[in-house]
Amino acid sequence: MSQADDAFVHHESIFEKPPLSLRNVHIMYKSRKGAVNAVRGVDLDLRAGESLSLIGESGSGKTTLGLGIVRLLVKTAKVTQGEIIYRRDGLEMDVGQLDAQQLREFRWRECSMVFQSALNSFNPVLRIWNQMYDTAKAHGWSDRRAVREHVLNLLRFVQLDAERVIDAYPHELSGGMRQRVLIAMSLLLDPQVLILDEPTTALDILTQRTIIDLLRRLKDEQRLTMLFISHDLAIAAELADRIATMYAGKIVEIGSADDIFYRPRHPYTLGLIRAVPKVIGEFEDLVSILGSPPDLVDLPSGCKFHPRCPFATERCRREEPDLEQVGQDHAAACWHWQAVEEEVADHPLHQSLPAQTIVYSGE
Amino acid sequence: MNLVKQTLASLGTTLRIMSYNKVGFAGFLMVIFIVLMSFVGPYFIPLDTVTKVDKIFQSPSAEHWFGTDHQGRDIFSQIIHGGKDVIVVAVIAGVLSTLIAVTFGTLSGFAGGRTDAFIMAITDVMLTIPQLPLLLILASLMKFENVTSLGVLLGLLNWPSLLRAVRSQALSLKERDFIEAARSLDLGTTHIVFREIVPNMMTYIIISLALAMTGAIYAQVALVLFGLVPFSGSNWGVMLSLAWVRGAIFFKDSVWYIMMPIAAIVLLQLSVVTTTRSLELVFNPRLRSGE
Amino acid sequence: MMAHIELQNVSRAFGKEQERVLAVDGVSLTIEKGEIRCLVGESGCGKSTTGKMIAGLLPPSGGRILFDGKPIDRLNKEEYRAYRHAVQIIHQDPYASLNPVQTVKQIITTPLLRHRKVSGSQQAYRRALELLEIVDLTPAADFLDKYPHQLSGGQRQRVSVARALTVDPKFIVADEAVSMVDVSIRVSLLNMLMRLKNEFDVTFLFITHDLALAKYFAWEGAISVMYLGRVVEDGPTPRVITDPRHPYTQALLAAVPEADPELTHRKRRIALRSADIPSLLNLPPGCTFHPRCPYFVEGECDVSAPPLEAISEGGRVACPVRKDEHVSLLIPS
Repeated sequence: MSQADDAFVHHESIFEKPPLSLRNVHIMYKSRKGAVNAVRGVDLDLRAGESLSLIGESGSGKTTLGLGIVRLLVKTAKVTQGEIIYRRDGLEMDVGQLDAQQLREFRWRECSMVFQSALNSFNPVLRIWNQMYDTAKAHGWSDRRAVREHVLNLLRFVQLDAERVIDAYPHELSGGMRQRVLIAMSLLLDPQVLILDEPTTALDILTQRTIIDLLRRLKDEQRLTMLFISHDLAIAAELADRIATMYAGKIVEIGSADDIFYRPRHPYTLGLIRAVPKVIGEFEDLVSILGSPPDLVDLPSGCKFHPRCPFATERCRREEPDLEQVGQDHAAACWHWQAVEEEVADHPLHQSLPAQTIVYSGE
Repeated sequence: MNLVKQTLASLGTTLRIMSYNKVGFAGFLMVIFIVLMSFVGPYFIPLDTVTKVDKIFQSPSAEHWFGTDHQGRDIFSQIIHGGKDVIVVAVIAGVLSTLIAVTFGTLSGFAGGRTDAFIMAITDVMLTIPQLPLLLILASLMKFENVTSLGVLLGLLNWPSLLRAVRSQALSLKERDFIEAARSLDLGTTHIVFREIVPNMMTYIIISLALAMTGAIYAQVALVLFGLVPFSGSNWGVMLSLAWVRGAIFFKDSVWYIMMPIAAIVLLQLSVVTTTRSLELVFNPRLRSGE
Repeated sequence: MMAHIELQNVSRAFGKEQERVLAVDGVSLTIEKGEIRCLVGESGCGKSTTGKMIAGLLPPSGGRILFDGKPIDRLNKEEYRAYRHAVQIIHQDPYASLNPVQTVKQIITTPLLRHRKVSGSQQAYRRALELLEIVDLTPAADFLDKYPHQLSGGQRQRVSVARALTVDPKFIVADEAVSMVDVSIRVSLLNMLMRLKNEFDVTFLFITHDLALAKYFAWEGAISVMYLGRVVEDGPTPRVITDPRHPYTQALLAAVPEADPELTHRKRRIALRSADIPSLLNLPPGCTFHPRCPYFVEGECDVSAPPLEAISEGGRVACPVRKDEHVSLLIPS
């Protein structure tokens, strides 16, 4: 058995406490226009072995939240309230209390993050091997041969020509290859949790597919606990067990992937789903959400979505709803979730799949 | 009348925008103050030219605010009278070199091809010649009777590095989508260069202008200090040169003679450079806060 | 009917000698008046270059482009001007397509005044308000004094469209015009563009990498699929989307993740022989897709570039091997 294989530990027990819990997390940063409330009280449990997708548009706070978890926020941003609890093997720690050295360990061994722009994450003058080895060494793993063997295994796992890629410079690799190396690198020290920020955004369709399939394998075969941050609903549909919708710094709905896609209870989630076209099948009408994303410096009163919401009433202008249970393991923050339920019942999202008009003649 | 009103209104807006940056605005006020003192001051404060043996090298006092020099003359009046030439040379040199750099740099970047190759060849030749030695040689060969010709000379030597920078900015701006949109709208080359490209470089141009002016101040002071430009009368550079020659730096009381022109030069430089912080706001709307 | 825009064997090369690449290689296509044509493909396939050549921003290095039946390099000065005004381009990046130091008012009134579309600044002001209303920026007066950085991405794209409308275009090249805009407002932007087509009779060339958007926007139009500088398949949108024939089109459609868990998990995977796209500097001989194609036939596909051939269901396919074969993209349940 190779190093890469036994490097992964299974965390399957449903009785196990979640590896990552966010409790009422607030993140604020200063901009020229004033204080920006990027994240306004997020409660979230990332369960062992699950893949959770945070979806939302620009300014929803999803990326800020991801960076906040691994404490990689820019200097002007700060977690002003709440705590981020990390657990492994029955031990608990508050990520907010870690010092610089502990944080470095945390980011590689416990909770690794893969960023959006794969090129910027590499040092352009170092070969892949040197970057990997430096990292391993910095974390007290200096057996050169063992590290190399491990790195080769990881590169093979992400389906790269390992022998060639390990000695390549970042610019010699294509965008998709770099993204795969980055994922391999994030697995170097066997983290329990992997956070991926827009892992496939800048990639071409066919390359995107190879990354999605790779992440699927990580999820299905290795049962890695993963948090995806993406504006792309299709990525969530492909990879997520559970989905959380964010709007204006808050989670407005959270539930299983099927609940979110077929039984949404928040008007914003419903709006997003109806705004995204599908490739397969006949023409379908799309409905866009009115208005534009909110100005985070000057948020509307009450429910932050009310200026764009077709269900909004006077109450929504005054009071901001909290998440409430709307089904089994499914919560939404909307005063009118029952109305949304009726709307979805009248116009089902779960359409019968396109008829097989074309006879398959292959294989 | 309407035109006057409009001009005043836009001047008001500009000043308001400039005042968003407190440090920059303070620098701007200081520049105005120094310019006024240097150009208007001499009409009110006569230059002290009388040698007073009993008052050599005095420290500042109520009578002589900045102290006295090696001939017992008042330093304050010399500072007032000595700024004009420095400023005139700096402005001529700065504006001239910036003008050359912006015009030909933009042309070079935008036109490309042979024009570009030709302009860049000249620029590279100019860049490889060391500036100060060249200045020294030129100054010793030519006679600079007045400040204008010195300003022009400094301006003619100072443009190459700025030109290169302007060119590379023009090159990158040229590829931007909004320039392509302007081409697609058939807005014409003149419009594209002067209304689309140059305004986007203004922040950079203003900063370069300020740096070119400070560079020109140092260069002329250096020339005067080396005694290569025989300025008659009072000039901060001449003062510095005289103070140096007279050994003013060695005594506690005489040190004022050498410190005062230095302070004046530094203050002027600092004010010019900090003013750019406010000017940036005028030319780059993205930097303005609260809007 | 005479084609509005016609490309005859158009090519475009970049670079010199060893570095020379053919970004567009012998593209022929016709776009009729009032049509919506989508150009889809991955980055580097030449779709943007093709759009720029059509908009007259880049001269072709081979072949010719006809505007209303006349080659654009033979137009006289007046005709050329008319052509340049008739064809406008909307760019992808809303942050780069507007001059950051100009207000919306300046951006819109400049072309109006320059081309004498209005007389005087009063009229220009009124026309600017009108145009902003056409692109759904209301109340229009609130937007006139804004700088681009004060607008959201969607609003900027609308300003770009309003600016293009100043010269009464007949043909708009929309180069990934909604790709960088948030999901929730994409649809309203597309609907706005669709309205322009209906109200002002504008013809569209919609360039995108997003097949789902192409399908939505051009359902009544046609799609051309490009790969490494060549059109490999085209035809009426419903046919290309539901019955793709070229293996590359099939691979693309199969690879797109769908925003529906059940649907996306039921899609057929098409395994390519190679994941890597060849470099334009070193293109494979014959059909450029052959090193990746699952249906590769040795001695045929790697010998000569297959021509686009018409198929009875509509459109053309550049694959003699597979052009008459149907493939379902869903695994039968």
